[in-house]
Amino acid sequence: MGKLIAYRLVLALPQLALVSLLVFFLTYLVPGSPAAAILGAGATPESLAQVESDLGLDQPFAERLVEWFGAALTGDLGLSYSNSLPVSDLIAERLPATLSLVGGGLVFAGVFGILLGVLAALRPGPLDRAINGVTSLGLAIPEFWFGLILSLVFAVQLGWVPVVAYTPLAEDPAAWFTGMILPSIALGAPAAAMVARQTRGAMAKSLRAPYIDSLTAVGVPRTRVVVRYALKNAMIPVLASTGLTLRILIGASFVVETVFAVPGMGELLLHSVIGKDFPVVQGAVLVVAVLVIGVNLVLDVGYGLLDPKVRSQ
Amino acid sequence: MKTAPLTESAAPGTDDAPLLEVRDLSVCYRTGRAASWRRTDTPVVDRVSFDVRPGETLGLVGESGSGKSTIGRTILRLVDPVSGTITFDGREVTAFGRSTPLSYRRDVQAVFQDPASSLNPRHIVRDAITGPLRRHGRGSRKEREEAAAEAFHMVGLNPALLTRYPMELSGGQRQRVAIARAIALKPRLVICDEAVSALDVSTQSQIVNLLADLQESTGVSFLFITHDLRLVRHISQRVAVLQHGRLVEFADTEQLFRTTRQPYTRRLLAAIPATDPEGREHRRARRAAHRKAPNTT
Amino acid sequence: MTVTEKTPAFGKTEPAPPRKRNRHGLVPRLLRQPGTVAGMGVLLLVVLIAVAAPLLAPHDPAAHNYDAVLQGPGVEHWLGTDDLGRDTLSRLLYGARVALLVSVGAVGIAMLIGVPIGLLLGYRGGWTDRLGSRLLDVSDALPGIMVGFTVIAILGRGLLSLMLAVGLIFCMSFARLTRAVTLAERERQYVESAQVAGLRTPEILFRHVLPNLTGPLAVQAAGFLGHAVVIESVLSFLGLGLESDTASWGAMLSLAAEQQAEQPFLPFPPGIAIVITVLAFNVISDGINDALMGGGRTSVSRRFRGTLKAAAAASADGTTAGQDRTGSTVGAGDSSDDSDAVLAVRHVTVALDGPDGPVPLVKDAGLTLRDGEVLGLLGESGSGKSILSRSVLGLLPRGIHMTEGSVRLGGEEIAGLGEKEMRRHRGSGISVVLQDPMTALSPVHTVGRQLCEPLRLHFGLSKEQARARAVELLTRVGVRDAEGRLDDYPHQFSGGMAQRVAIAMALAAGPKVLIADEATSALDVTTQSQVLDLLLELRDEFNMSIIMITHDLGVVAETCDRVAVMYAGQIVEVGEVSDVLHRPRHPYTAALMASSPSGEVTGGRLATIPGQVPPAGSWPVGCHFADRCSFAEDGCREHPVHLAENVRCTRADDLVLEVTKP
Repeated sequence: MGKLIAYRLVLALPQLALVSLLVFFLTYLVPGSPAAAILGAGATPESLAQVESDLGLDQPFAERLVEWFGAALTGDLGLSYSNSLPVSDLIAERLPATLSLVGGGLVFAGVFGILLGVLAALRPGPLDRAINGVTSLGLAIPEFWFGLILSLVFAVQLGWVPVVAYTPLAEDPAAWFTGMILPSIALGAPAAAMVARQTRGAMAKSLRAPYIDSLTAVGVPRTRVVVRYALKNAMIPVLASTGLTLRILIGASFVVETVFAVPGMGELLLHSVIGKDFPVVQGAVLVVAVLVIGVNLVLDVGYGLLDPKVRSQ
Repeated sequence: MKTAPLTESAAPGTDDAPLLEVRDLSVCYRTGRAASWRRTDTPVVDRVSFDVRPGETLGLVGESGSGKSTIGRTILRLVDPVSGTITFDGREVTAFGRSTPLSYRRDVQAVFQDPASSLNPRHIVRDAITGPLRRHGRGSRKEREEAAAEAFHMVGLNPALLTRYPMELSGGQRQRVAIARAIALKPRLVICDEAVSALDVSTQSQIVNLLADLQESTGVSFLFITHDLRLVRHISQRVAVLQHGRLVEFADTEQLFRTTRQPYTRRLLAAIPATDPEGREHRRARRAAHRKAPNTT
Repeated sequence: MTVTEKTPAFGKTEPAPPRKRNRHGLVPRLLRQPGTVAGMGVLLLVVLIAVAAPLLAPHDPAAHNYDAVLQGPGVEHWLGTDDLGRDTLSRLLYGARVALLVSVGAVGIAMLIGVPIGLLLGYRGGWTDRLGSRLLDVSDALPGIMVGFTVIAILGRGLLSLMLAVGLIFCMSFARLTRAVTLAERERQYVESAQVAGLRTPEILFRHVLPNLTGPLAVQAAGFLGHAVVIESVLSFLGLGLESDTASWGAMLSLAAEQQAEQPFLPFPPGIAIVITVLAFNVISDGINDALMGGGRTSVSRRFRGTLKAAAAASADGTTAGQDRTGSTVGAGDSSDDSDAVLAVRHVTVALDGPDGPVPLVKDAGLTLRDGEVLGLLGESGSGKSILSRSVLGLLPRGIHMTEGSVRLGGEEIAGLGEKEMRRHRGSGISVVLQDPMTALSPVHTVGRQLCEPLRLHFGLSKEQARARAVELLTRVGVRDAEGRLDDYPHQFSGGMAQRVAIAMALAAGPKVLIADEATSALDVTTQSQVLDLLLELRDEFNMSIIMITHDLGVVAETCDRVAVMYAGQIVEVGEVSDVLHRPRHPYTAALMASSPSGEVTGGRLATIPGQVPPAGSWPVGCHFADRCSFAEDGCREHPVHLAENVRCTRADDLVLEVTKP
């Protein structure tokens, strides 16, 4: 087990290093200098040079790379071009909302997706076809539009939940929960459809496996065979693709949050993209990458717990 | 107890100049994931030596994991050896380097086990024969198609099947196509890697006879790789027995089946189920006694 | 007379069956899927709308009309207007242009970049692949939208940067898919055969690898085209799309979000347009995928679909289930009386549900298993031996049913019992050992846990008691250090050891009848003889009877007391092993024996049986073996042949079959 964790960790490090390198190169890919982007059209050459030296942009490339990496390792992601606040603070402020949203979406997707997928696999025929129809539709619906419709119906028209609803968890857990219901459903619905399809396929496959017959043949009841054996085998591929689901959820959360006015990373990212505020873009990309890689690491280890073949490799 | 690898002296009479000569061949497989930073090289073939004579069928037998298929794949240059030499018709195959001379690709052909995947499902089966012919610069398009029809005739397939897709053929028919592909280039050695193992008994005997007929008429040599000792006795003149990547015995078929003293070969032979129930209690008792005997290995 | 006459295939060609119309092509298969056709229709409509937008649009999509802002659907503006009074319908029609343009452009860019990278990595392998794959892994760390944001941050807004942004999100996936398919193709035997024949790498790539890539790429491309429509709408919704005046569905939704309190109808038209377009792409993608899978080779459903086609052909001949059992009284396979039978199978017919009625897979079969005996069930693939055993166990695959017959276990009828009642017999009355021990045990549960299931269920043992009994059982079947191995997983056992575990599990509840379904066929020969010997020892110890299903004459000769020979769904001969193997009475039995290599003679030809086993659904009316039998007369083909005196052959009495050992 320890070896597995160490192995995954060693695989994750170059991935992280590559991502950060890519992120660092971002500034070099932009046409024109960041100084020009900050000062706008009317800047004089003197002021440009001044800003460049303030930002350390006149340093040699290698030096800047080392410096940026060193700072990033200590959690210092630089200062925002637009308001000179530390990027790490800006991100730390927004991260909880994004995590709440993504977590809610993941729970929704996992619970409903697995439920629908198992049902579809167990009941071929009308129910399977109906669920297939629902998941097809789910995969075609853009999260943010679904969010718009949900808020229109349940918040604006019916008034069951407040329109602008985000309350930090630390402030009021109950309000946080009610506020998260609609956004989580909007965000999680397409992911749930995806999980449902994976689960259905994996479940159908494990239900056809010979071990189902051998257990049935010694008298193990059907429900026990399905729940204890088929489901556990089916969950392995589903869990293996949770990393992908999570990545999609994070991306989609940037849009869904604008629909529900949740103060998450998306808005920050959007503003910095429009304002060419590169330290913030870099920081946000890096933080998300670290997050995804970290969760993937945890998932891989969890996957190893479930699949003995991986564990003993 | 470790047995020393057999040396040349163990090989039966060598009056004929061998067509294929394998000397001290060792092959390793890399184990562990491709991404793993720590790979170990596990030997799967360990200093194996044997030879195949012109017009002969050599049986290469062993249980799973004995390295028998790896040897065939090494001769076909699908796997690189770690050490040792393979010589074909006086030329050293192991010294070819990256590219393989076309003449070797013509002289040495293969028939693999799985008739389902040995033909491209998207091509009509004639393409499997004409493709290699074109590569070897044989005749015009029309002549190549005629050659394919001729090869079909030789393996007992109706030429009407030439334009079918593999899916439309039965397992036995597909294996005949694979043999037609192998012989169309008029090779001198065909590596048959479990070539009949996936077939039913009645189909299997058809294919085995076909191979024997082809050998009689063309003088081709076969390296017949299989786990089935019963089959080997029928079709091969000599037999090489492998265990865990090592050659444990190399002898004339008749001699090996009648008088072998090699313990592993004897165990293999004792395990073959007889097709006559007569005397089975006795055989069972003997096996049981052998198992109860203190572990010698 | 002997059946060993030489019928060399050499130089003599067998007749080619008539060519069936080629319905295997991808396009014909696609056109037979109503969903896919509908998806294509919708998509065509969207394309037409995009092309003909200027002709179709009732208004200028950019024209402001401050007299009619935020209207609902009405006569003048069918779908209402936005906050600037622009006509929603017109903007919707023009929006289709942006959506399709961006998605086609993005997927095109993605494929142009991704496919060559994937081909390179997959075909080169080695270090190129290892390094390249690490680079591809980077895409695992970043959400696609974020990549899109970054690209637009760098390039600014515009059509091209929108395409590039979306394209870059996808290109990694295309590279991955291409790499995976290429790697898989490279391992294929036909690619190796091409290598062995000396074909050059580019030719192999072009002729063998690329064609097999088109399917998976088409599936992914269709899916991504839909996905691109969504991403375009997301970026436009966030204001990162085209300039604000250009009509796009995402930008329309952005406005709708601002005005949703004023005009709740606004989000519906563009949203529904997106959903319909994406749905069409997804349905097409699924359709291509299904069509490709249908072309696959080995899946069970595929096998049965093949049978169905044959069945359609057969129904024209008037062959239906049960037609040939008119006269057989006891028969059905075994005329021994039931008095000491532990298991009596009578007149069992098993059929597959076909579109044109049931297709028989086993016809009118019967077996009698006596106390303590080992009964062999010998047959080639397609003989129906496994289907027969599964019907006895009540474990037939979905879509296959026992249509007639009775199965009596210790005098009690078990055919047609419900799941609950059947459970009483499973494990304790009848049990099974399957062919592949690795798949017959759940790979993610310890063998101890699986072994304890029947023990706790049938004997109500506590956890500790069950474990103790499991250790005893494992030790008995020859697993060393059984206690320590209880917590191991199946993959930690060798094939032979895993099969011993499976045997221990099957025997745990002390069954009266054990069905060994090719239980040793996957094992090496030395392991096989050990496991067979073990089964015979256990038979005596556990006082059970065994049905040994096998294709191997040797297994029958070594282990069975009696044997039933099956051919094309029927039992053709039954008898004591020594009788049947020494004096076969059915020509098939004799031919099968003659063509099995005995391993007792060096050299020599093997006898052959010409032709092939007829597939289920195309069985002849008369004797199923007649077409391959060297003794067949016209009479053999006219009427169904019944089992009489344990042999199903009209000429049984006047034939003297002598098997000359090859």
